[in-house]
Amino acid sequence: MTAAEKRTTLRDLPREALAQRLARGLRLHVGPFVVCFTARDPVLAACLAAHYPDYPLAPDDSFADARIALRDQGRWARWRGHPRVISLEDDGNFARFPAEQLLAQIEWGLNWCIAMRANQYLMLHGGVVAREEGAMILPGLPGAGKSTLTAYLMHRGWRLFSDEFTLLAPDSRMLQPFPRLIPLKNESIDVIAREVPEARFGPRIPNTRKGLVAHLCPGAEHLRRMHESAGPRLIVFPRYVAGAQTELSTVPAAEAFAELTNNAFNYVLLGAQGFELVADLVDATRCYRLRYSDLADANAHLTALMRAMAD
Amino acid sequence: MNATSPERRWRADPAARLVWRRWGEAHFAFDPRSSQTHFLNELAVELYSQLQNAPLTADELYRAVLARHDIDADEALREALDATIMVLDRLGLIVAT
Repeated sequence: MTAAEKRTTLRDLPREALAQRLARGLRLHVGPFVVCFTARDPVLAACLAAHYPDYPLAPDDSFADARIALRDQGRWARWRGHPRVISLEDDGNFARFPAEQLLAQIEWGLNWCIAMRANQYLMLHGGVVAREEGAMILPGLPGAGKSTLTAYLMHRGWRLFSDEFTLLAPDSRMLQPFPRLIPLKNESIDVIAREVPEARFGPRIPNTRKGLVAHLCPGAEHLRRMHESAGPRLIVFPRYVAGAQTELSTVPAAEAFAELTNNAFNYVLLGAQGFELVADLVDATRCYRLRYSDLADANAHLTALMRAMAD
Repeated sequence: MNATSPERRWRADPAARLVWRRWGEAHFAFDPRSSQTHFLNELAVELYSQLQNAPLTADELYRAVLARHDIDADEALREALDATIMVLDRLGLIVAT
């Protein structure tokens, strides 16, 4: 990829050019991957223009790590409210959904593609944010509060890598950014809307399989730096507990290792390499458990911890 | 003949080619054959290590552990040892000769 291509973002494409490129396959850089979107229906163009404007364009002939296509729908079907359908590489129907869920389904489709295929990385289930001192991994099962915390931190001086995918490069042992829209669910939406007034949300999408969902768009600065990896410094297992005082406690390495291996996308698939990578990751970092209810206070504790590690 | 009968000799399965990592008293062994990660305590690791050196019966293992740690006969240790042999067998890390 050339520097010029990196600087050209979806925002720079005129509406007609966007529609033309989408018809034959519009490619975007999303972290280390190229994602190809295809559709003739202007609804996808509108969705991408609204929610992905700062993602860099990739050349038309670049290899696509993931392909997401929105199937055509006739006016009659649209009028009758028939479900929309997206397909992936195999051209089968990946998901059928009400039209208003398009953004959520694009994101879930991309999750599926990467989780199934990006085995050139060790993929753990956890958010990642970074400061100049290094990167912090936030592993957690769904509901632990990692997306909410990640969403807050990315507005308060931390660089967004991901709210869900921890990508570790086996050769360099560096963490790779994969900045995406952050899907906040149910109560988390109002929490971030209240705590981060400047947050830029997509539409509130009710009645998805995860309840009410709204996507938080990463700022342009996070996307401009999507190719800058960082070394892992901290592993923090977050847990939102209503009313709790912020509390950081150390986690023994063995316990951290066990939790990480139990909550990974491709640990088993990578075999002995996965074992060594997770073990080395634990050895290279310090591990903590975080109980929190106040996002600002949690940020203060985590920032101080990261700074102390650099001293 | 049960797993810890006096006649049965055990040895570490040489095909296992385990990959190890230790933090304090916690040992993890990755078995590439099954892609399973095993969490083993100190006793399990000691028995496995002894059985890498030579095939032994449960009685011989018990005496070897007593001698190595210079301790007297201990019924609780013996029970733990027998249970651990069965676990190592079930995980496929040791085999009867």
